[in-house]
Amino acid sequence: MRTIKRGVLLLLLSAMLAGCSSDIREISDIALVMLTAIDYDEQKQLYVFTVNCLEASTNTAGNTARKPEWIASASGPSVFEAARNLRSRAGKVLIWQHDKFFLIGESAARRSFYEVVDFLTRSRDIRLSSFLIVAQGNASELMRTRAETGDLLSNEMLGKVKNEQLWGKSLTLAVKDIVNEYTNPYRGIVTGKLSKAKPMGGNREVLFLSGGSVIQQGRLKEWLSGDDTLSIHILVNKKYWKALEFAEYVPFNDRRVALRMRVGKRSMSLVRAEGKPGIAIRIEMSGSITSIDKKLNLADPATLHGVEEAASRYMEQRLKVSLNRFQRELKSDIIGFSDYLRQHHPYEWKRISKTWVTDVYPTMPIRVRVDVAIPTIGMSEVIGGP
Amino acid sequence: MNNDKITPFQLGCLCFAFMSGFSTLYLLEAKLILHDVWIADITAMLATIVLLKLLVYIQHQFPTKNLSDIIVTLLGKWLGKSVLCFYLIGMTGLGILSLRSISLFYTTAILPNTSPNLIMLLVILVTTYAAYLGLSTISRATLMILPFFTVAMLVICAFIFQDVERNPFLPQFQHPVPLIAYSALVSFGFPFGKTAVFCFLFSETTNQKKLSKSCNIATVFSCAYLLISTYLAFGCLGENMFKTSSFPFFSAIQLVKFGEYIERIEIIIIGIWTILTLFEIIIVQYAFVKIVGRLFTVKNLSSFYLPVGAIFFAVAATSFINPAKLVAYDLTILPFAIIVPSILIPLCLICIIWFRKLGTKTTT
Repeated sequence: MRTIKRGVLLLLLSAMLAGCSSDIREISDIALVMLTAIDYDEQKQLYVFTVNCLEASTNTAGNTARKPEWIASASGPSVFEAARNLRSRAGKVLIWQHDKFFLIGESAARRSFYEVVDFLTRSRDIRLSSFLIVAQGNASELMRTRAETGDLLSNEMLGKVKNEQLWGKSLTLAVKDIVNEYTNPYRGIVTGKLSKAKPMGGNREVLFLSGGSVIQQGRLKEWLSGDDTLSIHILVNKKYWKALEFAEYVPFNDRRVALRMRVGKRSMSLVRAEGKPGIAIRIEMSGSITSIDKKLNLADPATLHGVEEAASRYMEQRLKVSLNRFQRELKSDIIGFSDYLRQHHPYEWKRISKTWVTDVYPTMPIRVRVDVAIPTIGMSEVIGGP
Repeated sequence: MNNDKITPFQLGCLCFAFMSGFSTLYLLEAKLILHDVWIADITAMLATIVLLKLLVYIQHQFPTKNLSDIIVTLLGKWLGKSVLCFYLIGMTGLGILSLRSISLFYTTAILPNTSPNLIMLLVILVTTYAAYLGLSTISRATLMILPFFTVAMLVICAFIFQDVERNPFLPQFQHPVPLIAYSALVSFGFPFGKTAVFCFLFSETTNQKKLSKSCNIATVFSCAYLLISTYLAFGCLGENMFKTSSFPFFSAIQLVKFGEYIERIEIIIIGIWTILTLFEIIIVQYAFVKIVGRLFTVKNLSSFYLPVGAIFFAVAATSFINPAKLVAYDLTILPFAIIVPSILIPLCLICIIWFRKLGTKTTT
């Protein structure tokens, strides 16, 4: 019994040892960085580092209104030095562990991603699951834009990223995915694009997370439209389309049918066309009808089958247009066909890898087949009867 | 101090904890041959099973003796003691590797402002006391921690698996045979080859007939754990990120979150990981003291644990200060340094036993 008492006493005392560590930070002494923007000043050749912070002790719904976000910028020759120069103005210790967003300014992204991404992966504070978004123009300026909803900007951004699954015209990657792919010489990647514009009926500019930014050979190459970004959502990995829902307005005879679409399955295979290696993609989608512009008897199986066929051909055409743009205009394998070939057809890949970027990919035949099924037509069949 | 013998099941659990301590921290062999790593790991596991068979066979020839006694009996007093000294050097290397690895991990990922020497000192104090308490106490502690480890790992692995998009072990057979063989050697060096330390505990089990079975099962489970961790880390992070990351499996665990806001659950794994690494150091220290006792023919070993801990700490404080050297040691020295104590010496002992048997038969 005496030993147990001594043991318990020792355990209680050992709990106090935590205070001896030099890694201890009191919660009242820290400020949580919620967003970080990194720009590059070409003229001065300096990185501009901007943070959006909250005091940790005020990070509750009741207190945030009382103490606003603190936004500050500093510059330096390296990203780290710019971040450290912020300390001259910060009244608290800045903590990055809750930062979910890194906005990279267009100038920094067009220059080189290497130092920025290296900084993000080397620091133990920064989570690899944070999102990396390229800002159209100056990232610092976008960060200073007031949130349209009146919420914290970081909360609003998180909502925008979550909503990507509900419309598909934006695709934001985590730092982990960017690091994994951006040095790959055979392919490009697409991450989110943040821009600023006046919304319909609004009188001040607000932030839009729409479209994508193509990164290839370690730098920003091109912006991508919302429609092309949706195609990427559908064609790239399952994690991007498994929860995706998007709207399509499909022409059928002289009518237009609005559908809420989902991707059910996507497969890829290597085919040969005219002696060349090609890719065949097969996608199974399901749609549910949300509206029709004119009367159409959807209770009739033949009509419904016709709509399914029309939707299939429409989606095929849509994806082909995007793929054609990626191949011919962008000349960037942003879908990751090279990864597929390297994994599943290594011998073929060895044969073509040297000329993949210059010759093979831009001229490679790509077949797309889409099968759309409409398992539900909604709560009404035909307004006014068949 | 408890000198009770342990059961084969306890030995198996200890063996698993010993091999799996921080086996998934660096995943160096996977960084070498990526998709073909499973070949290297399975080859190393099979080699370990063969090695264990040999060691158990040696033990069965002298059921009442410890391996250090067997070595002295078979090789003679001076040669035997020299071989034991060689084992001591190897064990010091293993202990220091574990100490340095745990301090490197802590100072890189969790406590950047804490001195690595302080971390090592705290670890060595704990392990010294644990080794002093005896094998029976250590094995009971292992039995207590392994269920937590299993449940936590299964939950974490299930969550990481959701992020695995493609089979990361594809394409297969894309690396030359010599490179695969070298990777198998790296895998054998760390973590499988250190099983050789374990044979010094064989004499302390109650039922020696089940030695082989319990150790083999532990080896298979260790290999499964290593392969699952590699598969998940590789599949979740992707090839380039996997190669980039200093601690790939830890990076993969960091990505796990329950819902949108419950993150940082890697801290549970860090705790369990640390405890397993402690077992590794404890067993090395325990076997080290046993050998020292045999070298100086001392019965009461209790006064040796603290000096041995101090030696481990002193050597660790002055070794592998540069983390690159630690990785270089794991990649270039350990795979070859482990061959002599883990393969050549057991083979020599077997040959001597056979020759002796042959000599006895001829005489009769």
